[in-house]
Amino acid sequence: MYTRLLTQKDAVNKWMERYGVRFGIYKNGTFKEQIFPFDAIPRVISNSDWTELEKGLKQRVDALNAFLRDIYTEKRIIKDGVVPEDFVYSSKGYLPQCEGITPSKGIFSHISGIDLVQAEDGTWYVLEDNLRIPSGASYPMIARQLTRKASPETFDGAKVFDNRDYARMIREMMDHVNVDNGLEVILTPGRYNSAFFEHSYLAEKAGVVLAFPDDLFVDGDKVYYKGLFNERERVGAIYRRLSDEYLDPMTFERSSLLGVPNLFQAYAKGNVAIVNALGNGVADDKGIYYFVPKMVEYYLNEKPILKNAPTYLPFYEKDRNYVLENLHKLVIKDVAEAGGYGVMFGRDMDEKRLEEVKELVRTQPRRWIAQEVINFIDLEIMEGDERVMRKADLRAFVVSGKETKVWPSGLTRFTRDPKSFVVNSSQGGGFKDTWVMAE
Amino acid sequence: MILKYTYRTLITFSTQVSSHTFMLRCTPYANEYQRLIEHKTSVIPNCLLTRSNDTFGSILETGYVADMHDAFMFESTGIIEIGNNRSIEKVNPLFHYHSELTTPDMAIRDAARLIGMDMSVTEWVMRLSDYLQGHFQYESGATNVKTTASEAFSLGKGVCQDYAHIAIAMCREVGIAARYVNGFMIGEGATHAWIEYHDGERWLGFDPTNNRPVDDTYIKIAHGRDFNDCSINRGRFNGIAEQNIKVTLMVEQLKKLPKEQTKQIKNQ
Ligand SMILES: Nc1ncnc2c1ncn2[C@@H]1O[C@H](COP(=O)(O)OP(=O)(O)OP(=O)(O)O)[C@@H](O)[C@H]1O
Ligand SMILES: [Mg+2]
Repeated sequence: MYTRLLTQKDAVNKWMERYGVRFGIYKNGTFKEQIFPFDAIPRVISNSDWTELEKGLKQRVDALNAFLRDIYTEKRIIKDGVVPEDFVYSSKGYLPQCEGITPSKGIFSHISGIDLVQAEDGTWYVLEDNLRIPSGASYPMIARQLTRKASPETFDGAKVFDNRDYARMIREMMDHVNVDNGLEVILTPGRYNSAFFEHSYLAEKAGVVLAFPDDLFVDGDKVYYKGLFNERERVGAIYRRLSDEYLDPMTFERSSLLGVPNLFQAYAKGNVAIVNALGNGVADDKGIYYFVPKMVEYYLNEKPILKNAPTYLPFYEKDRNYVLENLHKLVIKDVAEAGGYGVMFGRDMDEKRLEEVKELVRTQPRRWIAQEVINFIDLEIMEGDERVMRKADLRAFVVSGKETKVWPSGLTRFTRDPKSFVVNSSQGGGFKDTWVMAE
Repeated sequence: MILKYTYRTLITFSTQVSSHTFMLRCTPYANEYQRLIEHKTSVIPNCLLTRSNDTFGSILETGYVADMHDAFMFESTGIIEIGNNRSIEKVNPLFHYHSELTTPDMAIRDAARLIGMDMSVTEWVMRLSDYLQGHFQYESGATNVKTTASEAFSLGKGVCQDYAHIAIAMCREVGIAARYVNGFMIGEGATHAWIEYHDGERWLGFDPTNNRPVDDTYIKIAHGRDFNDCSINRGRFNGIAEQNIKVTLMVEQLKKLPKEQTKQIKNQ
């Protein structure tokens, strides 16, 4: 199906280089850009697998949006004892400033990046929900664009869902939440951000303005775009690629030089849509993850279609005891970390380390979650001219506008280390295109 | 008590600045024991001020000065009637949880435990305050606006903000809901900070710096989890300038409320 594509892999990688498909990381305090290695062998997902995944993803994201609406207003799920108060109020992602605010059209998570792995027996497990600013959609987009260019005949016979409509999905969602028909912008923190390539690429493809923080200002609780000659244009929707704490130095981190001062006030008054909404971190907290299947039942009154990896919360005594006894075979994660940092496998720890971690679990139970290790599938990748097997996950993108839609593609990340399960790009992994079969 | 207050901040910049966005929290809090008879906020350069309440109910005023300027002044003035300084407002569970500036370390935890538990909430808070008087020293310049409760506590000295943060950290540690209050006080030439704790029925004010319960000589401006939620002024502008900040505050008691006086203030 894709053998011809492989002969073109060097051409594709060269194009990538030219496009500047890079990935920036901070290592030891300095910013380095590196190529995000592309592997030409696509991940193929059958149509029947996809149909099931699609249903499950929509359901999950709908429940998460319902949770966010509830948490920042009535908090029924706490009152009904489904989610303990602790997991909300002590979550770093919970922003009390957002209390009582319902964002434009009631949508909190407009773009959700759900990380999944497929176990050997074919079952898909969700490892994590990313509801703040999930990145990475541009990589499979550009990979597809380039592979099409390099090897058009590959796609003639293959019945693969086109993935070029991601930008259109984003645009339609932004049109839907736009307030007062204002300008639509993607707000980038600047070129030293690890995903700057993606910001500019998406802005171009979606036909919206790429704005830097200095381009925007707030006056009279409304947001304006500063034109070349200082004329002002009202802004109605901001797809911001800047995290909550840096978004507005008046309300959040005062030292932030990246944010737009008083943007929060404009948002709170309903004068601008912010994509994704503020405060979403309370729902993609690693601790809250445990409760997502329960949210599906609670808000939608449905059986969850997608499974969580079996997860233990040391916060509960029973779980804590299990974790302390079985740490050597579990994965343990620091709820405050991301990017693969703070993810530790018990089987890689020596006795001393195991004891240290157990002590941390005992003294700070709320800080950790533990999971059974999912033995997820290896995919073929090319290493030089050799085919080798490596662990890979999938980040599926779900866009919630007028309807909740799943993008029939996704970012497949793989590890280049044959012994590792951690696929994060910040840990040196690469990516593949994801082909979803149309039949 | 009826109090007349005038609070003014004048910032002079060493060079011209522009695109100046600001957020003020300088209007007294309105609740069942604070009745605003007269109030006015003014800024120079003059610009559109928009008003709202923050998530804790404090009054915010925000604005934007596009043009070049080398000074910025804001003034909050008015007459307020203060009652008994207690509030039956419901407890937001958030005030049970530690916040950025009040997360306790071992030393604060131990100190809180040493106070004992066998007493009423109010008694506990008084003992805590007595403890601070013996173990913490007032010294300006020793800490800054970013200093956490733990840092101040290990330093052993600080200002009203630090007293409040440590007291809040200790209260929350033993399960007492507590919050940070910023405001004016008769006889003080700058803003003051104290705490409110919940005794199971009401919110009560306590001033750990002066080791006494808050009475009707205190005007509450804002409350929140810690200082970060209560800044009186935050600003951001274009231009590299040094700032010289001058703050004046006058709070005086009015024996009664003469009609002329009300008018006069209105016309200022
Ligand atoms: N239960 C598990 N079984 C096997 N591998 C796992 C498990 N949990 C995590 N991993 C591996 O570790 C990686 C990182 O885990 P996770 O996504 O939970 O952490 P993260 O640090 O938040 O990453 P992200 O950058 O996606 O936010 C996963 O992509 C996966 O490769
Ligand atoms: Mg992940």
